[in-house]
Amino acid sequence: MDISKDLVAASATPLILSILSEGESYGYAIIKRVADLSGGKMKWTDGMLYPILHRLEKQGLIKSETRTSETGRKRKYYYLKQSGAKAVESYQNQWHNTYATLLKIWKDKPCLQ
Amino acid sequence: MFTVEQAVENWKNELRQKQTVMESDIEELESHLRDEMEQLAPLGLSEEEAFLIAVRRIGDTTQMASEFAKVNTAAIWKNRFFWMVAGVLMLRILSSCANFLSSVGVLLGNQFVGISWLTAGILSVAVQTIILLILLTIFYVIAVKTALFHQGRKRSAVITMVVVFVLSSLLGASSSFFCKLLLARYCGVEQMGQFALGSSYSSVATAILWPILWIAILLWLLPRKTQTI
Repeated sequence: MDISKDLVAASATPLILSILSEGESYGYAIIKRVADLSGGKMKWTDGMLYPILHRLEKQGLIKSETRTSETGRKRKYYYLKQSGAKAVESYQNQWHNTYATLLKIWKDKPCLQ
Repeated sequence: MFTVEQAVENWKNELRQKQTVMESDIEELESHLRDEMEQLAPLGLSEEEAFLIAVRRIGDTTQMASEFAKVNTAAIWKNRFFWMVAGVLMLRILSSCANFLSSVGVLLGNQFVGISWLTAGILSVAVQTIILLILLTIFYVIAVKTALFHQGRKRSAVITMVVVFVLSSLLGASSSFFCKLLLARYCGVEQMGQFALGSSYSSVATAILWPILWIAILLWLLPRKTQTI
């Protein structure tokens, strides 16, 4: 089953920051990475990624740099800043806690996959 | 006949029209679109099919524009302010041209057709207003036809506008100055007074006309209510 819109929206920022914590990347590659990681269950409208990236840049969590790629096209690369790495840690804690809370209720019930 | 370049250009123009999406955003989205199309190409799709799927995956332009609007607030206002200033400048340019044409026209009318100075005064403002309206209409038609507003802000466009503004202002001011100088020199003070009286008659009329016109234009530009079923 696909992940609901609300959850996709809520997890977008931590997901993008976490992907960038692996190293610099650009929009299209980030979308591909999300699709790979979620096994296609997380459906993003591709264009919506960019306003989020620009907002994160404004907030000072990431930085961008426009370079010419190997194909000769201009590409905007994003990389994580120190404050972004801290944000990833904070998000990790929050998501672990959320998941742990849910697990406590669900532990006796079989997973309906 | 479908060509990728034309299709991409059309899609970019659609985004430009949204005005909340900046040129740098469009560049980034275009890069994304081309990446996606390159990925789809080996699957045996035609260029047109690859383009359509890639556009679909990027998403609805209206929805995207409203998301970009939330991030681009400063840039959007900068852009609006630019168009306001450009509008004022353009109006000044056009009125200077109208001023020049009416000054010359009225002077010629007096010299060769023999209209009185009082009539010339009335006509000078009236002719100027009519010429300005015609120039505004011509400018509007050209702007719509050539999709001038799709181009966004360009350094060369701004510089051209400023140069034209300075030149046309000088032209307008000097023509009306020489018109009055000629009046005072060769026709005597009484004629000059009649000319001034005539033009002030018409000024009252145009002072009433302009606000009505601007209100009408504003109302016309107001977003129309979309019909809900």
